[in-house]
Amino acid sequence: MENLPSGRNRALLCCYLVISACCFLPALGIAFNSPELILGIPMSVLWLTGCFVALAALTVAGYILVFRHWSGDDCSPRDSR
Amino acid sequence: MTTIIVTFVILYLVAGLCLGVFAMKRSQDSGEDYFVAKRSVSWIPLGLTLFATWMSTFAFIGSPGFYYKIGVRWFLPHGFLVVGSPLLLWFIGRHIWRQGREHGYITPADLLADFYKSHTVRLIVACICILALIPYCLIQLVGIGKVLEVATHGALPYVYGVVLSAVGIAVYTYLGGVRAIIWTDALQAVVFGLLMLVGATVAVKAAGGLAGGFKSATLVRPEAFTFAPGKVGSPLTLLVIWSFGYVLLPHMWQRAYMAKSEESLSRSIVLGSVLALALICIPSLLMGTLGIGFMSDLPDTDQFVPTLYRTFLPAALPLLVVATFAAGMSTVDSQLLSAASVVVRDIAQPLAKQRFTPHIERKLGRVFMLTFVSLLVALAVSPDSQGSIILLASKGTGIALLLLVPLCGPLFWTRATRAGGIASLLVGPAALLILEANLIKMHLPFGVGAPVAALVLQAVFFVGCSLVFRKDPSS
Repeated sequence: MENLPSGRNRALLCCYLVISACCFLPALGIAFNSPELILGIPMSVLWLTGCFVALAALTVAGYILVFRHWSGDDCSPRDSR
Repeated sequence: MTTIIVTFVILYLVAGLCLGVFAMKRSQDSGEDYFVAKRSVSWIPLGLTLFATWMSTFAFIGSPGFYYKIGVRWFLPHGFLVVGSPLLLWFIGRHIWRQGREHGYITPADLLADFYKSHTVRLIVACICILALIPYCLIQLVGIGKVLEVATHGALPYVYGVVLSAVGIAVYTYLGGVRAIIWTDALQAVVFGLLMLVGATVAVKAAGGLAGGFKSATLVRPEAFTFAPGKVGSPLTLLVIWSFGYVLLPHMWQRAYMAKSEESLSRSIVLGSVLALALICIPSLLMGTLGIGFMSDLPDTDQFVPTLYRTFLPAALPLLVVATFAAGMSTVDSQLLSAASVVVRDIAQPLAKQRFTPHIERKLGRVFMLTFVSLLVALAVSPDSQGSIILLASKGTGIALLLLVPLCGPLFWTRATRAGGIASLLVGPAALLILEANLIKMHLPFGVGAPVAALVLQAVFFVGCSLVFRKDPSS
């Protein structure tokens, strides 16, 4: 496909995909799929909470590092016509 | 207590009406102003309206109830909805905003029909948009009706809540258009946030603390804290629906059009996302999962939140009822306006074969809204529509998901053709209908749901037809 994101956008997208993949570890039965309590919180809940907090932090970091500087670059194919 | 609850509700509705009148005086008589606020919304009100639109009865009533019902298996799609989908709104919404501003788009069909140069695309997309909005609008009235009934111990039956909220919504949306919605959303965002935090605090106290509460809950129902092995299809389906489908619901799409600038859109998404994690996701997770340990089996899990308040904090019941009204109304008003814009611009205008004046657009929009609200009330009072809020809402979002594949054309793939666009828009809904209605019985791989299967089929036809019919370029 044309117009894949470039540079920092790619890095951001990669981080998003990695964290998203980590969210699936309990659902796929690979890891952290247990009601065992860690710090008083079920393991599965703790892991997913950590992942989603990381995603939220990524959103904030993404804004500061990438999206604030967007205007005018990295258009869709149609934008640039 | 019933009198206090009714008083609070009336005060809230009057406040909403006053805001509607105020917004009407500030608005201009044009479709662009009425439906997308002349693309002038800055990041704070946009962020608050995004948050308030997320915070529907789905989030306030449905989600805690669903956590209570299925535990951590709802956390995966719900987390992606509140945290993951804002990032998608960035990657997709930015382009939607830019093209909307450049070409004056107001509805989703404006963008797709313009790219594919096809009236057929416009009509199909318009129908998908209306169908997608019906279940999601419906759950707001259903949620309000259920909460009012439980909070008043049946003194105010379900139907009263449905009708009262419908009248309130119709009045202030009719008067003020999207400006009224943005201002009332800002007010409602504050109310929701507070009530969600209060609800989580009540649940933690009722459970005897976080650690003790989770210990009880994991003893009562340990399976609620694990994913069933080999059954990833259901959470995966919910995840796909609620991550991608949700941002494509027409009222969310149009929020991308509303932003004053890319900067506003970016900031509003950060604000909306952080608020949603802190005030929707985590509190509803705590309420529902801790509730497993201290609340006995409820026949209708949507009753979990009102029962929690009624049992442990009855003094806050009036605020809960008002918050539910606020949550439901702040979502359905946006969807109502969105549906009106779709009907006026994508169905009525092409059928009339003329461009309506702004005044006519607005008038027709209002007539449609009143008709649509009446239909919603009729559906809400029928027994078939009073099922689980989450599952009802998923139907609508699953329909909106059908817009993802054709949207890839204008956003990412210049080789998409009209044939590919139309094929995907015909195959997708047909496949969804066939699979949902079980017209063809089949076991889908990995147990995924009908919306995911329809999405895959759409993609195949989209790419295939675009590559085969290359001589019919879309632009």
